[in-house]
Amino acid sequence: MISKTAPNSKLHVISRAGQWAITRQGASRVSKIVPTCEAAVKEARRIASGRAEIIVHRRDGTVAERIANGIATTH
Amino acid sequence: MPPPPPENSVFINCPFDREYEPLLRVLLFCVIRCGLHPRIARERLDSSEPRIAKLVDLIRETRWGIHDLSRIQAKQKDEFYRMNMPFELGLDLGAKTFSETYRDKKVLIIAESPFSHQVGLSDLSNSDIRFHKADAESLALEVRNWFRESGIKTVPPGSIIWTDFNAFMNDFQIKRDLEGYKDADIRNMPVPEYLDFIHRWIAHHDSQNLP
Repeated sequence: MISKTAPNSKLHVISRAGQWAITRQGASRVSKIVPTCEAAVKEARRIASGRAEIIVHRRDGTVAERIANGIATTH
Repeated sequence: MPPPPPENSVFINCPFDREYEPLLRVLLFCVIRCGLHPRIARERLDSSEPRIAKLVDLIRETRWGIHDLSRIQAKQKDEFYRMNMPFELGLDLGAKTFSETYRDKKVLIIAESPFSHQVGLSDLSNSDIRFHKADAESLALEVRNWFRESGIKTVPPGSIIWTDFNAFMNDFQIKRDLEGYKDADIRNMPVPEYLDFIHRWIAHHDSQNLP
């Protein structure tokens, strides 16, 4: 059911109360909240440092983009 | 398989169209994540079964009802008001009002925005109605808060439900891709199949979070 990547190696960029949050999968706390999706992706890239997969979600929760090894795939 | 017990079952009365799909996805996930069972007219298809009989069964077999009155208004010239949702709300309220058996029913009426439904349904003008602004996160929070206010103490915090839903959507998409689903399969996916995905994901999630 779950992808083979270890849970803590995924960062999700999700909408949160009108802002954008970066959450690490499996963690109970949000890593950071910023005003825009663009800023959240930039911050997620910094946190990931190329080692974690970044999943960027739309406001409805669906996946807009995956970033693995610095390379983005749009959905 | 027998239906889940009424005290844990939630009648979902909402629009069934492409525009509402993103909200339906999060609504069904939220109900299950809160530990309850969504019951919805699209959960089974038997062409020999009259729709009204199915609705009566759903109302009879649930102690919770969520009625989303968004999108009842006609959007274009010559388009009719959509009356199925108000009709089903009326059935549910009728059961609660006139039958001792269903007196303890809990009912949530939710709409897209204040006043959007009141012109066509002014009888509800003094009712406590919640609003989701056509926003998936807001809908999840409103539904979760209603369960909590109605006495369910075990519901997770709204932020957890929303974070989990996003993680679920990612895993759902990966799983669908691995199993060869195409976009058309997803659009036409029967509700029971989607519910099965949610149940399996939450079971897996819970097994990973055991103390």
